[in-house]
Amino acid sequence: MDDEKFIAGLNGKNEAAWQQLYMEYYAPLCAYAERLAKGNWGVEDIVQDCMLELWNSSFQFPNVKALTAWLYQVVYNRTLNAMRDRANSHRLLEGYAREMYSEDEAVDFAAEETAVARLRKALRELTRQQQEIIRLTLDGMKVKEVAEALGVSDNTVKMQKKRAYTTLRDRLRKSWNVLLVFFFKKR
Amino acid sequence: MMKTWKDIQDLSARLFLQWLRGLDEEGGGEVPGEMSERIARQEKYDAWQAYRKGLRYRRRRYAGWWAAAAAVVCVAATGAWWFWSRGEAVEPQQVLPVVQQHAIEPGSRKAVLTLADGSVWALRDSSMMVGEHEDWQVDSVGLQVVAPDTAAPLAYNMLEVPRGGEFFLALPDGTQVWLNSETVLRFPSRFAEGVREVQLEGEAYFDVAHEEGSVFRVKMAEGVITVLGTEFCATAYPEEHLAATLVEGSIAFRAQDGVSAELHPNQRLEYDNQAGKIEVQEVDPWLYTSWKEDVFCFEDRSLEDIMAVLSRWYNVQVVFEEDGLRNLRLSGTLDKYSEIEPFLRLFEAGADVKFDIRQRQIVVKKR
Repeated sequence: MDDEKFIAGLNGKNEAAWQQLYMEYYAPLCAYAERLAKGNWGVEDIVQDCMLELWNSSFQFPNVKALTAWLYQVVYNRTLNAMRDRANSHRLLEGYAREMYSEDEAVDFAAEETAVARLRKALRELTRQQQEIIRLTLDGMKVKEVAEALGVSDNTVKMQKKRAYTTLRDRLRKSWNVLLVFFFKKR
Repeated sequence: MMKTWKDIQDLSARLFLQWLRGLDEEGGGEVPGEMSERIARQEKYDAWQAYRKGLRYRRRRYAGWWAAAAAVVCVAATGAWWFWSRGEAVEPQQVLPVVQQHAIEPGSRKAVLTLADGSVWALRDSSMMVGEHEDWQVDSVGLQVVAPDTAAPLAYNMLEVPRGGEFFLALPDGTQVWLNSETVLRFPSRFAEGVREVQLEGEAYFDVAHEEGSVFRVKMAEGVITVLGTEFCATAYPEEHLAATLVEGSIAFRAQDGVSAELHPNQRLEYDNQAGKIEVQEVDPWLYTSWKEDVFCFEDRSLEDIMAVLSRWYNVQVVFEEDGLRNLRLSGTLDKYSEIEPFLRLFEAGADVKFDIRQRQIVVKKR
């Protein structure tokens, strides 16, 4: 479903769009809340509540950018509140300094989780071998190490990496329509 | 710069691109590390279960709609489940016909290979060369020598990339070459002992494989670059100054008239053959090599230079109505495979310039 259809469906409380909302946002939002809370402290309830709040509201989002901003911000606020409540009710934990992440940091986390979600989706386009190679490469392994780990030749790894890269890049182009232009004029 | 929640989409797009770059470079890109952990952290959450849980809750609240909603839910759910479990792309339906007002398209991977034996092959993404040329392989990655014939005589082949094209080639020694638009590379099917030489007109990025006791040479009309094992970009377009940008390793350049220079990483040389001088500058190599990662990146570059690069890739003619416009300095980053128009419109929004796009021509005017 393309972005426009998705947003329109969401605003119109259309079921297919709501399903896509969960499939695209649920896992990254949970992982995000987990990072903020430094542990899985009921993050699933937090995210579920957030989605249901959206359903019950009459918010109309102009675009995906605004939707993403809203979701991550709401989860951030709810997670902070949950952590404060827990700190209050478990005085024993006070000694364990739980810093609250700033909004700036939270935005960075949100960007990372969104990117990971995109990567997971894109990886599904690749062959099993390519997926393994890409994961190991993104883990920081060099070609030699990947080849050893998978029991194939260096050359196979290199070529499969290239093919996977081409597929991923093409997918990026087609599904995002992102014109990566950061424009400014120097005087 | 203070980040806001609205920046999340753009920031994540940038990150994703960085990670993709990390895939294509040996230790030079930005590999994020711990990606398996990050992926696992998300995968442990079951979005489908959560959706169904949410659905039950929502149905309870809208009990009146139950009957009508149920059918819609079943059908929609099946379709989408199919989509997600297969991981297949669902093509968006074409609602509006696309009206073509001009014929300008981004470039693509294409080249013409002329072998030493005189045969000519047009190469596209996935054409395969079979038959008597089993020692070549062409696929979505590019062209590579599969099994160099050590008995073959040392003869040169020629790979030509037209305007609006680009191509990748792997040489018999494992050296990787990315060829930009309007480029010709002459290279042998196998290398001689001690010296590996290729000839270049145009622009190419080389990732030279290290070989004990053998130098790699790139011969251009106005000079020669000598390399041991390294990554660099050589630019030798006829209407421009010869240039070379070094990413890693070290290279030596020697011009026809004898002047020479050695480069260290993050340096770029420009040779003015009329003045007989070589100028070396410290640069961010990304600005001159990003084209191989499918991105054009300009930083404070003259509009003349920018249009020269775009005209080769989009295969269009550029005409400046006023010479003064050539010196406008601009910056920007563009995904090569996107349409040119939105990019030009953005330039217009930020500078006193107007672009008139005709069939295959762009006229640069003062606003």
